[in-house]
Amino acid sequence: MTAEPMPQAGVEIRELRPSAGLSLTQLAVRRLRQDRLTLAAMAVLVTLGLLAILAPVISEHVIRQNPERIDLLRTFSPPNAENLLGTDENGRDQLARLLYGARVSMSIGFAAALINMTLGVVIGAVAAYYGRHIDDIITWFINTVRSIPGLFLLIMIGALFRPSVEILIIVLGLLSWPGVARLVRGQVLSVKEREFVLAARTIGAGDLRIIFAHILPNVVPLVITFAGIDIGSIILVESTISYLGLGVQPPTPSWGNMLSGSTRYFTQAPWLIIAPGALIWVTVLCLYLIADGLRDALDPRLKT
Amino acid sequence: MTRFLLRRLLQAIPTLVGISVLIFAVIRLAPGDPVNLFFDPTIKGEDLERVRRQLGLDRPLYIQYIDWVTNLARGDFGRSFVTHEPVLKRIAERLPNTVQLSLAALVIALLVGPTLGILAATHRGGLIDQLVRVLAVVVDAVPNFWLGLMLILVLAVQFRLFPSGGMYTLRGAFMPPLLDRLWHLALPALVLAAGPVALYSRLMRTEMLEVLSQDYIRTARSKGLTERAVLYGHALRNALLPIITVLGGTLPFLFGGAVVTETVFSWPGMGRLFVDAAYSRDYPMVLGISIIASVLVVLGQLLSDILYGIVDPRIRYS
Repeated sequence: MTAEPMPQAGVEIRELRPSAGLSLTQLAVRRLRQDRLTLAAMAVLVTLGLLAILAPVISEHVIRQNPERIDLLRTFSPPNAENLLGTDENGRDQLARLLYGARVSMSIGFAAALINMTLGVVIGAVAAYYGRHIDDIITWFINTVRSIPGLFLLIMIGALFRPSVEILIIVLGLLSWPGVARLVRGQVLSVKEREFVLAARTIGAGDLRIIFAHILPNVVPLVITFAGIDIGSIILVESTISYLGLGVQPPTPSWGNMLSGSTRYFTQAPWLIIAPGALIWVTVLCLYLIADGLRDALDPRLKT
Repeated sequence: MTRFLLRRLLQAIPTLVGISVLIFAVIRLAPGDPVNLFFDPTIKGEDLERVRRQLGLDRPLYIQYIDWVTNLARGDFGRSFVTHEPVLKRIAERLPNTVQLSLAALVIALLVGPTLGILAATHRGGLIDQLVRVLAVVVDAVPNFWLGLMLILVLAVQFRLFPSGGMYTLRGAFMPPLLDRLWHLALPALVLAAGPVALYSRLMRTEMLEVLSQDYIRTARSKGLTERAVLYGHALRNALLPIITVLGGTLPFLFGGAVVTETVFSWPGMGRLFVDAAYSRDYPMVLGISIIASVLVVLGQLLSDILYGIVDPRIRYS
């Protein structure tokens, strides 16, 4: 061996040194700290979340408006000192309704995502781990559900059941797991062939132990990354069917149903169209940006 | 090729069966007796029993399902509760409008998406690249119906550049019919194309970068071809392949999106018919459109698989 390859090796060691001895989580946190866009998105999302949680306090003490108080003498007032974002067709304060709507729209997004993530991870892992007929059946089912334009099924269910918020969460969760399952299945298929799984099996670990203790931890980064996109798209879907009048039923405000019927107000009250949609947009955008940032931060192939 | 086609056709059958079972199950899972739900909410007691027998609702579920599917296969989708016209006839009237809108959106998406992707890939890391990537995320996150509402608010209500909805000018059209139609088509097609544009640009960028790093590109460059010839003669052809695979996946998106876009822009297509039917609880219509839309999606996937098999012979023989 000549001395020539040495500098190259030296470069490699120098590149690796900062990350030596750090866990994947520590590395991810370190990378995230430098990712200004993702941090900004997190800050905005946390602020929106806090506003949603504190909605009752804020509407009572800060803006002093009751989201349910109908005042037919003050319908369609443009944004003013008292009603910062104006009032709707029933004279209700839009800002107060947006705050309460945030609670509904966000909790539907997060809760339904929790359901579909749990189902998707378990079903995807089972399909990939056991393979053969189980995999065939699950894959067939996933492809079937994905072939039905999702919105059609949701509108059908919305028309038949006129769902409450709780039912809507369950329905959205039950309909959207195939995407997660497909993703997890692919990941598990590649992980289950690795040596440490074989090693676990040779020392006598059972299927459940191998799946939950050895395989699933390897799927976690993928699932965390996907969560942002998942929650975001559920919020989008919920807003769409609520806009169509088949999701969250009034008087409960959600960002989507605040827009239903808004086409009548184009000239009269454009602020009623702009605000709810802009909030949905910003929320989903933050979730997608965070997902993007987390994917880069959790990528074990990047070492800085 | 024939074997490939045949195998692919056979694979579509279980999917179709699954779809029909699922839709049947959703309808039967709905609370309340189908008689009260579909026909007359006031029927009770003995009358209810008699009507159930007449309609065959007292028979086992699987027989009811088979009956329903055989009728579907014969083209009998039942009659609308509202207009009492055959469901299939109403769908046939509206479907061409939806196809028109979806095709327009697809053309926009296929022209704009890959172009943006190529621009981003060839200017990797530069300003154009950044802009295209930001645009893709921003467009992905916008609620489709709200994008439509905003376009109407700004371009139709404020500046009066486009009509706010509908398919043609009712009276006093100042343009020839074809132009008038395109003028009405512009905004809804743009809204419907937004999602696929984002998807295609992202896909095209990744694929183009991947292809540009291949050996045969280096060979093409080193034999003195212009950058133009390398890009369009060698790289583009290969980078376009994955776009064909996702074409099938775009269809459910377009049909689903058409439901919303048609509602926002009062476009008289199948999607709007569906939403109206859902409002008035016109179940035969709701069922019929769901089935037709799903079948079209399956056929679309089939078509894109076949197309992929034609352009990439490796797929056919594996």
